[in-house]
Parts: sequence; structure tokens; C-alpha cells
Amino acid sequence: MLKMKSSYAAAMAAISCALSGAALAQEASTSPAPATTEAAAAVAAAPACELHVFPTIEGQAQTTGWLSGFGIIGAVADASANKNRNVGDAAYLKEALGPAMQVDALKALDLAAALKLPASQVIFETPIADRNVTTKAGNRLSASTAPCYAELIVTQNLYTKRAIYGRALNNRFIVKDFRTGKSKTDLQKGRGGNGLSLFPPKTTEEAEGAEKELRDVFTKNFLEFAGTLKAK
Amino acid sequence: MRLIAKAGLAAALALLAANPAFAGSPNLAKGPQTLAEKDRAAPEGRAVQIVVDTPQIGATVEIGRVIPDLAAGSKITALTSMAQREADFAITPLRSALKNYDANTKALDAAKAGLAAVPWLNPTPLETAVQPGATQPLDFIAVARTPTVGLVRIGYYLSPDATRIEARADLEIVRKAGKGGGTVTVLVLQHVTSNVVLDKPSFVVRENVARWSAKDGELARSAIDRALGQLRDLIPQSLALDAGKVAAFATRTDVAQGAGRFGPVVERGTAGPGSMVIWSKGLVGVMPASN
Repeated sequence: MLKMKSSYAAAMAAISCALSGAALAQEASTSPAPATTEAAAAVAAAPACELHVFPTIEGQAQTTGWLSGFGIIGAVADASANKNRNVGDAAYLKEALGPAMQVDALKALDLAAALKLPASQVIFETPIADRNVTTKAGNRLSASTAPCYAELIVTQNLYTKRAIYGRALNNRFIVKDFRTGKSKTDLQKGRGGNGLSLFPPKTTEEAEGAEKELRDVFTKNFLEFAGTLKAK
Repeated sequence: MRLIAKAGLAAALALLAANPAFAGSPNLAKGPQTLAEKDRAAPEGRAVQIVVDTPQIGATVEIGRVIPDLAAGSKITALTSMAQREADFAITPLRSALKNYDANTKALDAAKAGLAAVPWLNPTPLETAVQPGATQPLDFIAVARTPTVGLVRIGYYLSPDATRIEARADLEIVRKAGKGGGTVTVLVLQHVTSNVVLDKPSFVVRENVARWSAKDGELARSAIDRALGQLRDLIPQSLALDAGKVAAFATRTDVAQGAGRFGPVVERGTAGPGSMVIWSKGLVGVMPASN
């Protein structure tokens, strides 16, 4: 267990170092990125629509082993055996797939197109911890009054490891489309989940690959969710 | 799993269990949001204690949800402990930058000024302390010679993501009754906060901490001053609320999110451009940091 803890610590340190170069200030970017070299032209071409993205601070981990199939006694034994691993995974996942990484992953996509929205300025917002706000409020969560406005909220970030099904990352998302002009709108909820093969890394050398895999699977999960949305 | 420095309150509750002056175990952490009109006046005076909850700027943690399995309790403890260690480490540059800045006195002054603006409170005698733990609320209640007692805890904290500095006041009025005043009833418990939010914050905690800490913590000092200033104004506003006013908030159509809270807007612009006060289980002030 000590070895496992030290490998997590090393991995977290490596990711922390990787993040040190990633100054991800919350600046608006257009989606898709303008191809012009002239700033004025870029400003003129900035879409009127806005897509505000709220990443999550969440990083949950659930690890279950073979004993989970043996009733309450097995479950107790299994939970006890995996306690430290769950904590380690949760702490590592929280660090590895925190808001900075989510933003990094989502910035690489044409979010508006994926969500079947018109070309939009994408604005990354500060994560909101209170789930009563992120999963229930039908109103706008930013101060923007743009008439063409939508929100994408990441509401779950769950790593699981199961004895039979292996490792996976599951995410839940919400899209709120305010183009109807109303102050409250429906919450279009959905999820995406895909398998992992590298996460969590066992050594520091594996951390970079595991981090990339997490980001790729997060992207895949988002696109899986986005694929279920219908154009309005 | 918000763990906003409630250590003082937890310690008070622990002491309550062992305090022979109190027959039962009143829960000081729960109470009505508003004070009934009949309980306001205190012609014979009301002993009030103000305690500054933060000997230095507090580091708060947020661990999010934890899977509700059989090991959840120990996981929460372990994750919280890890997060607290990380938060205490991350905030170090800011604490160093604020080393010669006496925010405790300012916090105390803000609380005193706020209470002085409540016409019916009659805070006599008024006791203050700037060291949490040096004096316990239950000891104060036990020795108070007035039928009702006021407790104020005030502090200032850096948010878990370092995107905002929050000043917070917990306002409580309790009634002593029974033989020797051994039965304590919470008449009102309110949480009032004021938040100063970084413009275009980073998703990397240490980068936000660096912005607050630059130039001997210039931005943080300004934020703490402004947050405490707004808190001073919100304390009397909060204590003036009654059930009708709180119910009326729910009918407002202007609702907003600020500092992670969401609720009806009580006022806009009072504390400067871009500022607002919302109702979210208490008055929550939000304003942009002045860069």
C-alpha cells in the first residue's frame, strides 16, 4: 500500500508540474477559432452567441473488487480493502481531471457545433460547487444578458474500477439553451462513459500517458453526450 | 461537503456536552432564519460576544461529493485532511503577504459597527475576542446576566479555488430559561457573507493566490476591507429581516448566481459597479475585485 501511495504522490507531482505551464485564465474564445491574422477582423467576426461552460471541481472514485458480489460481509471486506485506494484515486482524479484539464480538453473541440448550437463565443466560468445550483437552477448562471446564450455544465466526474468491467470514467453534463428568450429554460441532462486502460498510472513515467487518456476519454464522454442532443 | 472553518462552532458544541451549567444539549448550529418581533426588544440589556474566527486569513476546502459506500466516512475524513493540508500550503504566500495587516481589528470593528446599527439589540455588556478558542460561547452564555444573549462569529477566508475572498458573520441570539438559565433556546441563527471575486481568475489555485498576494497583498487587503465593509452594512439588514420579507424574496423574478450561490437578487450596485446582494439561506454580497 505504501508503494501505491508513493506512486500516486509521484503521479500527482508530475501532473502538478505539467499544470504549472498551463495558465488557463478564463478568457473567451470563439468556436471555431478564427483563422484570420488581423485582430480587428477577428473582433468583427466574433459571433454574437455565447456559450458559457462551467467545469466541475468534482472527482469521485469508486473501486470495487471480487468480494463485492458476496453480500454485505463481502462488501464490508471489499470496501475496507479498497479504502485507501479509493481515497488515492479520488485525490489523484481530482487533481488530474480538475477544471484546468476539462477546459483544456473542451477547448480543443468545436463545442458549439458539437452541441448543435450556432457559432458561439465560448466563455469558461469558475466552477460552482453547490449541486443544487448546477443541477436544478433553470436560470442563467452568468451575468450575461446576450439574447443568444447557452450553458454547458459538467456535473459528474466519476472514475470506477470494477472486478468484471474494469476501469472507466463517467461524466454527466447539462445543457441549457436560452435562445427562446425566456429567463428560465429546461435542463437537458445526459451522460457519457468509456473505459480506461492506463489510469491510474503505476509509475511517474506513466503519468503523462494516463493524463492524456483521461482527457481523451473525457472528450469522448462529452461527445457521446452531445450526440444525444437534438438540434433546435 | 462545504467545510467553511466551523471548527469554533464544533468546539463550542463539544464543550456544551461537557458543560454542567446546561441540563440538555441545545444545538447552537441550528435555529430560525429570522427573529420574531416579540423577541427583539431587550430593555434590560443583552449580553453580546463577538469572536474573530480567523487569527489569519482562513483556508477553506471543498472535496465535492463522495461515493456513499461503506467506507465513505473515513474517505471524507481522509480527503478533507488531505485537502486541508493542500489548502494551508497553497495559501502560504498570501498569509505571508498579509503578515503586517491587522484584519482582525478591522473584522471586530465591522461587527461592532454592524451591531451598533441595530436599534433594538442593546448589546450590553459587549465582549470581544480576537483569538478563537480563548473564550467559548457556552461559557459566555453561562455567565451572562441577561435573559437573551447574542453571539457573533466573524472571519475572512480564501475560497477553495482561490477565486474569491469571503468575509462571513454568523449571528445568533439565544434565550436562557429554566432554573439558573440552564435551558438554552436558539431564537435566530443567520449567516451573512460578502465575497470579493477575482476578474478572469485562473483555474490554477496558485496563480490566483499569486494575484491576491502581489505587492504585499494589495488586492487581498482591498478585498478584505471591502468585504468587511459590506458585511458591516449587511449585519443590520440581516437582523432586520422577518418571515414576511424572506418569503417575499421567493417571489422576485430577478435571480442570479454569485460566488457559487444562487437566489433572488435583493439589491444591485449598492457596494459599487457590478456588486449585488442575493438571498441564499442568508444575505450573500458579491462584488468584483478592483484590479
